[in-house]
Amino acid sequence: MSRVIEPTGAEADAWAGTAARASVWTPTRESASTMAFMSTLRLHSTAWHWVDAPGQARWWVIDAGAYDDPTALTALTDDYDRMPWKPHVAFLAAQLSQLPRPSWTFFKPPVKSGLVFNWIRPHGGQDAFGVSARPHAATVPAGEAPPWRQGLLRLRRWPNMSRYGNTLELTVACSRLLAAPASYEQLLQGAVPAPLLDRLLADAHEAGMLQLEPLVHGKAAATPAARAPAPESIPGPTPERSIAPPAELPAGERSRWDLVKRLLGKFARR
Amino acid sequence: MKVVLGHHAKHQVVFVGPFGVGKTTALRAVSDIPVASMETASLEAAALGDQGKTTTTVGFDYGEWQFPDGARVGLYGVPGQERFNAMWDVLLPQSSAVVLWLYGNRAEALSEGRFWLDALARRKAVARLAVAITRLPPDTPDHELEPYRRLTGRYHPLAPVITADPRDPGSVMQAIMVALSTPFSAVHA
Repeated sequence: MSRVIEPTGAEADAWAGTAARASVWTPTRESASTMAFMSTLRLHSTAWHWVDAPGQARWWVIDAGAYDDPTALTALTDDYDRMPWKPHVAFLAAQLSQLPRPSWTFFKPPVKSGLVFNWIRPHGGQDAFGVSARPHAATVPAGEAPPWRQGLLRLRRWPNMSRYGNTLELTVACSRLLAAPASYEQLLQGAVPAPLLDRLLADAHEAGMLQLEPLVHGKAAATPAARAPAPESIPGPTPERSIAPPAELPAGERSRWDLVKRLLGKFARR
Repeated sequence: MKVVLGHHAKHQVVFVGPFGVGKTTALRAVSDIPVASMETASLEAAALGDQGKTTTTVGFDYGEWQFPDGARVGLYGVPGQERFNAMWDVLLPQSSAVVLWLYGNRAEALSEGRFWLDALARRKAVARLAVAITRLPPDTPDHELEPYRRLTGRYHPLAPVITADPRDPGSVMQAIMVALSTPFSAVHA
């Protein structure tokens, strides 16, 4: 397993520049799941540039199934934690409980192209979008798809989770929506029962607890600062911080996430 | 024989709340081991007249989750009366998650909640908090939880407030999971 090379000087400039926006690295290039994922990436209009050093890449693709030795994966996550810039990580695995970091995006192979594109969009691919806050509509017009099926969602506060049958996967999905915007499809990747998720989102929408962030195509790439700010009532992490946990709290937060994963493995419905 | 002082549990989940709300019951609902209780007969408990409660916790209750790799999580229920607050000082500052159990069916529930939230804030234990309201049906309308949310929001803007039944393992697990899953945010002391 190669060690992370942190970008310095011109390398760092290139990393931060437009050209490096689509730089991708994978430590599991030979795995079938990674190859399928890479093929899907090529379907996107972004010009992907494959790099050999993880420190030069803005995007990582990791197939958990390709690791026989769990310590190698642990070393990789340690390398990630030490990086001054956090890449966007697609983590391919059979179970959500395998996800080693909450800021990584879980994909269960086989991955659908729409899910991959939804993962790319918020982070400024060539088809990047601008995001703006929109006052929530009180009702869903008959015959139209629910508004939470398009664009990105964010919860302003915790719903009363007990109304939805004590489903732990749903709890994790809500936690994600409290921390950072995500699409409906991304939430479904976490093995959340769709009818329950729809019911929760409908209730949250009606109660004004759901922040909708529409996708706007054809505009300049959105920077994190251009995104809709968190509601004033939530002085939580900024969008940038929500992608990578702030440096001052990693040990406790990671430890807590480890416990959440253990509990998912022990108690979640199969 | 190997003598072990203390325990090896890396994480601790602590149940707090007013006297008689159901902390010991909740612990028993989810623990992998028989709960070690320090309970005694109590006239105070008998006077509560709630579901045949005749005892009260005077030390702490201890349960545990055990995992295949040997890891353990300690589950603690602390006594609800203020005269036992030495236990709060020991357990709360190092807790991974705290579930504050409150009554949903009595007038003084909010003042009890304020008392406990102050106690948690003084011991730096509101960052991992879930507030579980008992004796309300799971489908309680959101507006009935609003007073609890407003109160809790003064201490932790993202702390979850949910209805929960301490007799139901799924419901207790849900309360613990929302406490653990709440994103980091600045917490008011």
